[in-house]
This record gives sequence, structure tokens and C-alpha cells, in this order.
Amino acid sequence: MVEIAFPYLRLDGDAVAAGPWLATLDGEPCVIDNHQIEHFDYSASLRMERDVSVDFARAADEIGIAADSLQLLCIVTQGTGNQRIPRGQQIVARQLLDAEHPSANLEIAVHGHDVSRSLHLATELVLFSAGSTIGRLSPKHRGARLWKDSIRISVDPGGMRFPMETVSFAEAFSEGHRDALWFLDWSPQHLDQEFTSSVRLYLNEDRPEFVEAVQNGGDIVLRMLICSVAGQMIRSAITLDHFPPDPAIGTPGSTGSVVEAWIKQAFPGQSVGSVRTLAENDPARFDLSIGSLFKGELDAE
Amino acid sequence: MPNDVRLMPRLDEIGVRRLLGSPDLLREGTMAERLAAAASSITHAASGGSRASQEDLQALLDGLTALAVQHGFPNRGGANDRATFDAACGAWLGEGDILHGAEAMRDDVWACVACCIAPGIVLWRFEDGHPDRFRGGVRNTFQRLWLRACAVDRGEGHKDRWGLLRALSEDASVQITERPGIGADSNIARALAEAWVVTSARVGSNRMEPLTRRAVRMIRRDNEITCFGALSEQERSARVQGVFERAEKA
Repeated sequence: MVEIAFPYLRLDGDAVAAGPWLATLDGEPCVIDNHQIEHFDYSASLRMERDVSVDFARAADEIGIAADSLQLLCIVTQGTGNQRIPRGQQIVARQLLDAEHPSANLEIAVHGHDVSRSLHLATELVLFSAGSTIGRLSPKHRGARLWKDSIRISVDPGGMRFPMETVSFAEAFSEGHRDALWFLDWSPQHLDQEFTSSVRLYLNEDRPEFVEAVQNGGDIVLRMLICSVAGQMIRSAITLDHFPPDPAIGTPGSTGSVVEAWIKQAFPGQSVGSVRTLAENDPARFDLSIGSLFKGELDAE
Repeated sequence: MPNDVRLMPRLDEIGVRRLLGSPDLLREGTMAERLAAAASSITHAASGGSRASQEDLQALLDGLTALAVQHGFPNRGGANDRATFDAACGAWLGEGDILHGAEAMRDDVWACVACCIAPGIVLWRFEDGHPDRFRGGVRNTFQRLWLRACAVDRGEGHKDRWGLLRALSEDASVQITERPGIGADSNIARALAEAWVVTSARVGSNRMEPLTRRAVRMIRRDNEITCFGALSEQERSARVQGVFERAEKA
């Protein structure tokens, strides 16, 4: 994830009380289970509702602005598209809040034909007006982001897992490879693209015993496979000039960001350069570190 | 719209590879032959609309072909013709009633359009036939035009709705629409595009490439701390124009 150093004071959360999103699907109450909604398709009609209220005395104190002149805009941005990076987004609700009207009831209607694969809802409080009495580190400009909470709901359950599918290698690869067990389809040149759409692990359905072992063999088999995959990607990425991605313009959820996160997890506190040196000089210890990844995190389809 | 969503064919990566490995089929084959060759890699959404018919797919191919022919397809057309094709095709896809909404946000749908429905136009538009022009994604021949149209659409009632598609250079279009945080938010993308047109008229298009890159980079940073969407259109335009002016001096 990209860490943002904000150049002004922000709300730390205690001043904001945000209730959960309540959903109604086609007129019936609906449970958002594990960030997924089932039975959602283009014909679905979803209503989402939540309350947000601000303790203006506390908020004003936190950001150094007089409570009676502070005005906040509460907005909801709806996004959709690929799993982590919305491909289309727009503001679908906005309410002006001040000390006299400190609460917002946010209600939005989501049409199924506008949602592809996942629905992102970001609730934000941004500065609308600060008045004239402000501190040195207070936010000054309209639109300054002060608080945010977001939820990503998959309407495409398979997409939440490691992108994986089975194909016949005999049919897929005219040049042979019919006995290979798996093939990772990705390109080190496309690290800026969305991980879930640019990386795909194919299992050879001509080797049903392997496919069954992955699908039903539990955590160990799957971890061995995914650690091999991660090892291949990390080994390639650390040799590239354009890796790691520039944090100022890197995109959360891109292949480069995912590989960088794996490296941070497997090699805590080490630079990419030192990981590269380890891979060259001590490949066994390099693989040992990668083998520590994904404990308890995997789920096969 | 909910009741007439056309569920488009989706082509997976294996199908893309299979068709890219058959250049004769891409160049000379028919749409039906390509769809048949990739049948095991083609899926549709299970529910939520009705599958696009053969007539729908043919109408899509006919529309794309008619536009391409106006610009020199299959045997003629220079760089300018291809650029004007891009703008015209983007507008057509942006207004299109066959492929829109959630289906148009899927990479695998556009992969099918490029590989099975209109690969001849891909090979005319991009003579090197790079695989990325066929695969789904921001570089797909048709998907990129649809994304551009969504990003810089001035709205149905505007007298020059697609003027920004025609005005932007290829580099500016790429900078604005292929950056996820920018291109996905049409408010920011449109403000950027409008500011690009104003700045280009003032400083000259030959200076715009590095200037645009700097400005887009600055906007992406600014967008992390400022919610541009929360500003009025006037405030947003002024803010983005200011960024171009700072980029000009940097």
C-alpha cells in the first residue's frame, strides 16, 4: 500500500461515528458475508445505507479549527471494475455537515448493470470550509481529505482468490508441455497492471491428480504451489530497473505492489538490492524465506 | 437498461494465446470461424441479461468496419487517418448500445472483440500486431477508445460532446486515461483534458508531452490529499489549470 504523508492535521477517528453499511437486494435485506454478495447480477437492484455523525467539538479540536466555523462535506464515492482498482468511479452521495447538522444519513441505489466484478464504496469527510480561525497545521483548502473508510464488495466470488483456472495444456500449447503441471501467465513488463487481471495461474487439467491435489489437498499443497509462483515473480521483479514501483505513483493492487508486499513480508527490513544479493549468493535461504509466505491465507476454488 | 443488457462473449487468456498463434485465422478467417476456434475459452455471464446474438456481434463488427473504412481500412490510412479513426471510434463506442456499462468494464469482453470479432481492424490500426492490442486492458485497441470516451465525455446534451476525443494528442490520451486514479474518475479526467487543450493552444503542442507528464504526476499526488470530485466544476478546473501552469514553470 502507498503510505500518504498528509501535510495537515486529520481526524483520527474518535470524532467520527460511522455505522455499518446496511444492504437491501431486490427489496430484501441482504447479508454482506466476507465482503461478498451472492445472487448479484446485472438485473439486481441494491440499496446501501449507513449513518455517519461527527463530534464537531472534538473534530474542531483535532484539526485546530473553530467548531462553529467548520463545515465538512460527507461524500460517498462508488467505484467498480477490477478487483482492487476501480475502473470507473463517481460520487453518488454528498451531505454538508456542520455543528448544527452533525449527522448524515447516506443512502445510495446501485444498479446491477453498472457493477462489474466488484463494488467499491468509499465514505469520506473532506473540508468544505474552515472559516478564518485556523491553526498552522490545520487543513485550509476545500476538498482536503480528513477521514476515510472504504469497503470493497465482490460480486464475482471467484475473483477474490488467487487468479487460477484449469485448462488442457495439450490444447492450449501447440508446442508441447502437455505433461507440465502448471503455468503462470504474467509478464514482468506489466508490473503496473492490476494483479488480478494480469496474473493467472493455469493448472493442467490433463493431469487431474494434480488438479485434485491442489483443490482438495488442503493448505500445504496450495502453499507449495503459490510459494513457487511467488518465488518466480520475486526472482524476476528484483532484476528489473522499474522495480520496486515509485511509491508516489504506484497503484495499490498492481502486480508490482503485490510482489513488493510479498518481499516485505518474506524479507522484512531488507532492501530490494539485498534480496537480490541473497537470491544470487544463497538461493537456498532465499527460497526458505519465500516458503514462509501465505500461512493460513490461501483458499482454492 | 436492466432488462436489455446484452451478455457479451468473454475470451480468456488461453483463448487469446490460441488465436494469436493462428495469424491466418486472425487476418483471413470469419468471425464465426474465430468464435468456433476459441469456443472452449469463451464464456458468458450466467444471468442478468440475454446473450448477445450473432446479429448483435455482426452489428458491432459492421459498425467498427464502417468507421475504419472511412479512414482507410483495409489497405490505406496514415497516422492522421488512424488518429481520427480513434476519435470517431471512441465516440461511437461511447454512444454504443451493444456494448456498455458493466460488460464494457471487463477485459475479457474486449479481448473477444479484438481477437474474434474485429482482429482485421486491430492489425490495420496497429500494424505490428502487438499482443497487448488484442488482450483486454488499457492497451486493447478498442477498450482504450471506450475508456477514453468514458473519461472525457462532456455529456449527452453538450453541443461538442466528443470534442476532447478529437482534441487530445495520443500521448495526452494515454497520460490521462491509462492512469488508474485519473482515468477512472471522469471529473478529474475531463478537467485535465480541458486544461490540456487550453495549455496546448497557449504554449504549442510540441511542448506538451513533458509538460503533460509533469502535470499528471502532480495531479495524481494532489489527488491523494484533495478530493477533486468534491470541488465544484469551476474550482476543479481552476485547480487543474493551476497545476498545468506550475508544470509549465517546473
